[in-house]
Amino acid sequence: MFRYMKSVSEKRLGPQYVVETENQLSSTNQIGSRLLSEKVWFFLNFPHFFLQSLIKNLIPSNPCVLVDDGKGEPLVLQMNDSAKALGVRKDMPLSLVERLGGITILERNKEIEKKETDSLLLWAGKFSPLVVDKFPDGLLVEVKGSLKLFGGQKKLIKMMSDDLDDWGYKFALATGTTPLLAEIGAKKRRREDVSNRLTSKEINTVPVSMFSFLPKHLELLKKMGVRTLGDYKKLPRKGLAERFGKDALQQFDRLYGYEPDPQRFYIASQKENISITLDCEVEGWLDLKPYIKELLKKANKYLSCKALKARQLTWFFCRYSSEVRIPIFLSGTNNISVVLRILEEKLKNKRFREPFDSIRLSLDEVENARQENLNIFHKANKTDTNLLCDQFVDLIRSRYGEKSLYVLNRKAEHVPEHSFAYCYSFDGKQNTGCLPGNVLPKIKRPVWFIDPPIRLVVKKNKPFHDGRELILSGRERIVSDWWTGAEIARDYFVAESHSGIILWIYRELVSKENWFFQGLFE
Amino acid sequence: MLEELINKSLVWTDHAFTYNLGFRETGYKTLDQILPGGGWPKHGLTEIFSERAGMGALRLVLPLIARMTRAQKKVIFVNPPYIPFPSALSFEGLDLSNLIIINPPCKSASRGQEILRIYEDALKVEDCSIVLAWLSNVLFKDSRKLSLAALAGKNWGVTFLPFSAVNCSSSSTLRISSKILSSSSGLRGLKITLLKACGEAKGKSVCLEL
Repeated sequence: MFRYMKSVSEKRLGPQYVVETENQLSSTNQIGSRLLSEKVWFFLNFPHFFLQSLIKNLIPSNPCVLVDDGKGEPLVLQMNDSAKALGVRKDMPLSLVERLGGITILERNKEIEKKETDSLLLWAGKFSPLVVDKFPDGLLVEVKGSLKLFGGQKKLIKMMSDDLDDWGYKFALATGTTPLLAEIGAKKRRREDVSNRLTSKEINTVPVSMFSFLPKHLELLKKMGVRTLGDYKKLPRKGLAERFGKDALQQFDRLYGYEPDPQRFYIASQKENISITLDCEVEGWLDLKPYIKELLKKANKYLSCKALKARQLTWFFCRYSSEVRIPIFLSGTNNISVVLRILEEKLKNKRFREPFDSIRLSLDEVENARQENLNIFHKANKTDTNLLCDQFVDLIRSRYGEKSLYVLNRKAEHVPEHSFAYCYSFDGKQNTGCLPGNVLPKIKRPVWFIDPPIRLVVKKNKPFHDGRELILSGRERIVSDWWTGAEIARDYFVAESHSGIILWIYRELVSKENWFFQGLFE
Repeated sequence: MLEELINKSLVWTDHAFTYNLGFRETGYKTLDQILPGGGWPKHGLTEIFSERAGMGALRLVLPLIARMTRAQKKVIFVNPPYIPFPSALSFEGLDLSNLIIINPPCKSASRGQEILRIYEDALKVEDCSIVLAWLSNVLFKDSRKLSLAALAGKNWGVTFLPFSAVNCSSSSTLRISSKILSSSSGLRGLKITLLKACGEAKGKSVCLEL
């Protein structure tokens, strides 16, 4: 006989159960003391998923059935509650359904199902890398490592639920310390009771039909009067193994975490093109915006799941063979929501020659996302209107071009105009040949550099500025590049103008009448 | 309700204690003594008037900028009059990797509006600290927008303006004029006058040695 004990860690991780057999109890006490796996599994069950993938945006109260075009007459594969209430049942012939009238009949579309499945698996990858494809039932996620990151189990459940609600999915979510426990929980529960795990009493009331027994075994259990898992666990273990095989017993042990339950985790495919076909032809920004948002969500899912960040992406607005291309350069991010704002600026006042029927987003350049350590007092970007620095950089670059925004790096060169470089990438990488930040200059230079230098008026070999002669001090000779043939030889002076401005000027040694103004001290 | 309005800086009160945005030391002790709160405000908008670039106005904020960049905070220069010379900035202690310079290439009539737009967007950036912009003029409605953006992004915006713009109304919490003083001994100084400030600081002036 089995005996179920509640473990000491119930408060922290919810109820965990240890299964002991009568025979084992006396000899193997270590089994009883062994704690089960402390993993936290979420199972998201999507009832009649094939149908949902086609009708998730339709009115749920309308009766809908999904028929599978088999060898013979199409048969009902799945139906929603409204259709069920009208008397539609699984495997009912299509002709019979048609006679009932007022029911929307949809044909199974495996391509859409695959798309929706991939989309949901990618989305789950946002919360944890350990995602298991259990479709058509749903998906399984191990979230223990992510709970702290997302602020706890309740918040994580809320985030997931909000996302799925936004997309119009009907689902049930349950948690469990084992994959099977979570799965049974999700299948048993309705949406409104998703937050908790199954309690010991509740597990006992779960019908055996929800457990993965073979149909012949289910029939046998029914004849034996076994209706629930509670009834099943009362049966002698040895007899169960003989009658139903070791596999059924193993599954039962896996349910309670008594045996490990290995899972094959989902690995996303290496796709880089995300496209959407529009419901109707659209041309204005307002019409395009919802579709663009949808594509961005998909792209975000893909990047988060693959731990990638995008550096360049291109939008294709297509109609038949013609297309409008809009490339966008990013400073490397896996949250490309700023792209919406960039696109809005580009497209808001633009009139296209003809409307579009599809949009494609191509992630042209992606790279591995470096995991940034957050500051201990890091605050998340809470407001919608405010940007983060990376997003701001992307916005300005897309608005005014890549060279409108830069960082300056110092170079180990004597000639002032060669002593720095413009850096247009904001990934912390310096241009080659640039000096590291900890090498400080020894000579004070003007804060403002004037490029190209301004030729000064010269009278009697003396430089003038604002009509007055400059008072010179501190000569510094810079001679360089004589070995290349393009020799630079200058005498630099600090000069004070009549108005009190301190200038940095130089005289070319080759032609001593050439005076230039190249810098301005503050 | 009044307290809430004061906290949001929606009510102007002529009292130094209500100036509650927080401050950072300027790096000049004499300047700290006259500024309300004892330093540059952490958030909001400040206007510095000087005759032209090179008259010492930037020098007023360089020590703070150096500290902020070294603390890995981003500082943004919008429309600087010339190229900020990296050798000089490094000499002053700035970490150049945290200094972003924006110079939009447009040369159209709307360039001024574009600069204001960039300035406003920059002030809303959440993980930035100081935004400096060189403008020729700011209308009251624009300064109001910029002030709100600075408060929303919790950034400090410094607008460098010529003296010709000093008579325009502004919603900036702090307005300063800086003038070069040259003595016969050759020493250069900077006369700072608070044109607009909270509390009793308004009208105070100080001379800084450069």
